[in-house]
Amino acid sequence: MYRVVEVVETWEVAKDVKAFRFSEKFDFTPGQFVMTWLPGVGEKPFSLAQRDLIVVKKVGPFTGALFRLKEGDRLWIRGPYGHGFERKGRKIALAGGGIGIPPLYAIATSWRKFFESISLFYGARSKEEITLIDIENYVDELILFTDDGSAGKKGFPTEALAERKGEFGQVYACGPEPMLKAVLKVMNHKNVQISAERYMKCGIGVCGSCNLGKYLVCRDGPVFEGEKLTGLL
Amino acid sequence: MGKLSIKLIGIEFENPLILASGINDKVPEQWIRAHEEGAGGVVTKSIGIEPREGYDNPTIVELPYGLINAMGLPNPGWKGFLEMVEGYKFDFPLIVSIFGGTPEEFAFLAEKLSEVADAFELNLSCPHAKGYGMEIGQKPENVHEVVKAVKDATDKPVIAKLTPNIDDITKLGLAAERAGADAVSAINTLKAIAIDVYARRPILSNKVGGYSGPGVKPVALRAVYDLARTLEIPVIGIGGITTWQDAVEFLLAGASALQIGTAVSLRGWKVFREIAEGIERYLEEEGFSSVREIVGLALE
Ligand SMILES: Cc1cc2nc3c(=O)[nH]c(=O)nc-3n(C[C@H](O)[C@H](O)[C@H](O)COP(=O)(O)OP(=O)(O)OC[C@H]3O[C@@H](n4cnc5c(N)ncnc54)[C@H](O)[C@@H]3O)c2cc1C
Ligand SMILES: Cc1cc2nc3c(=O)[nH]c(=O)nc-3n(C[C@H](O)[C@H](O)[C@H](O)COP(=O)(O)O)c2cc1C
Ligand code: FES
Repeated sequence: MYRVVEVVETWEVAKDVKAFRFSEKFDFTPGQFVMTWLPGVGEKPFSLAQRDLIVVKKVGPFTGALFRLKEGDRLWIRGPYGHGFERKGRKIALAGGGIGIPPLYAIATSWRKFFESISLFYGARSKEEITLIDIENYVDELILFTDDGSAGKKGFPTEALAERKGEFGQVYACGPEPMLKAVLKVMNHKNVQISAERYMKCGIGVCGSCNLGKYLVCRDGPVFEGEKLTGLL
Repeated sequence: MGKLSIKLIGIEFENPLILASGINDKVPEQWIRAHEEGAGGVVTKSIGIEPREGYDNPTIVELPYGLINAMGLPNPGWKGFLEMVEGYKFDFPLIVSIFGGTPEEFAFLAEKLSEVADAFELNLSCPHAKGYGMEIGQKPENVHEVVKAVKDATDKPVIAKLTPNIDDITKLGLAAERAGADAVSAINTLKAIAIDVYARRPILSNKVGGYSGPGVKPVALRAVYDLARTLEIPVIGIGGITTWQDAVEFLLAGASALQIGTAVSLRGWKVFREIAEGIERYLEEEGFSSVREIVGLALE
């Protein structure tokens, strides 16, 4: 059933990206997601960035309506759902692209003390699309790329990851699918967990709409061990 | 044959636990997964003439004792279905669920999909799709016409899936039997609604949907009991089966096989093995040598 929460704070994070903090805290594992209902509009999945925070990119009707919410407006939330990240490794790397930051933000902010060091490899199309929230305060190192070179280095974060992968006990990745594929390839599907996306309806493993091969992303995922995805991604 | 194996409508099943239509069964990889996880057979998502997207979210409501869903029969249509299964071979019985708006549509689908299907299940019972399912299947004369048309169109066994949203489900069962159905399955979901007290509106985008899961079990069990007492053809029990005790109750009430739906969400895929192991233990402890021996014992 839904928990009805109020938006207590909202701010702009990047071009077409907003953060929404709500009035209740959810117990969750980084990587888990919630289904968010706006009556009369629709219901869509979003990763929890913190116990009371989602970070959303405006891409269509639902996210458009979400962007019009003001402080004090209501949101209907069910979840959290799915299989989150497993905490592994001492020195770890986060690999993110575009709007893939929310679950990595959850790792950096809730698990900081369990790791010896966190290195973030992040890429965005251009400077104005960099969606880091304030994750730089929770990582030891930020290796930044843009496709056009308008900030950080020009190129893709996976190139830098490939050179340094031996340093990390575990790599945690979220971002556009071509980037996830590149990360899996770089890591040879080992010592890596990725957060995948598929079109979701029920969110609870009953409707079958979110299939990735034989897996259900809402239930077996969204976070998968790299090895499980051999031949699939 | 093993302790749990059954022969039904001329088909052998490793065990009587079949994945119900509409539950994580859109693509072949999911059917194979269900079998790997212990299902004795699989019913596909209901397939129609044209592709359908289904309804917008919210499409499900979680309740303390089950779910209300109004998915809206999303499916790739018969052409898309055939493309999707091309090249696959299945080492378990595959029952293809079909739905149409007229007897002719049902017959057309059965003819087109006969190559792929080990059997057909006719969705005469979905409670939330306008012009389909229950809207047709609530009238015994429609059930009769549809079953007859499909039987004429295919040599494969035909299962009529019945709706509980009627005064007496045995009227539907008798109509199916007289038209030549090889078995009936029951129940599909109970027509239901949920309203959010703060939004002050129905939650489902389609407003009404179908209730399934543990909450419907006693109703489903009664439907199976009545059908098994009335019909000559086998009854497949569906509705809220979540534990091995539920499964044994349905078998005792006269179900020759069972389908499991919502419990796959509640318990995970492991539910098939959990229930199979429970039934096996029960048979052992109670001195039965096969699951076939306990079918209908509570009817006497
Ligand atoms: C597990 C998971 C976590 C997600 N976390 C975030 C997040 O933290 N921040 C964020 O901005 N976005 C996230 N998304 C994506 C988000 O759900 C979509 O951006 C949103 O549903 C778009 O809805 P819309 O109506 O605005 O756009 P639409 O015009 O409906 O769709 C735009 C695109 O969004 C995607 N999408 C639409 N509906 C769904 C759906 N039901 N399930 C999955 N993808 C969909 C599709 O790729 C589509 O092409 C996540 C998706 C998943 C599956
Ligand atoms: C999400 C969902 C989708 C369903 N889709 C179909 C369908 O396409 N065709 C059909 O005949 N029954 C469909 N059903 C009904 C189930 O097959 C089953 O009859 C019903 O859910 C009762 O069993 P259960 O309590 O074990 O879930 C669906 C049920 C659910 C929950
Ligand atoms: S969204 Fe329904 S099974 Fe995953």
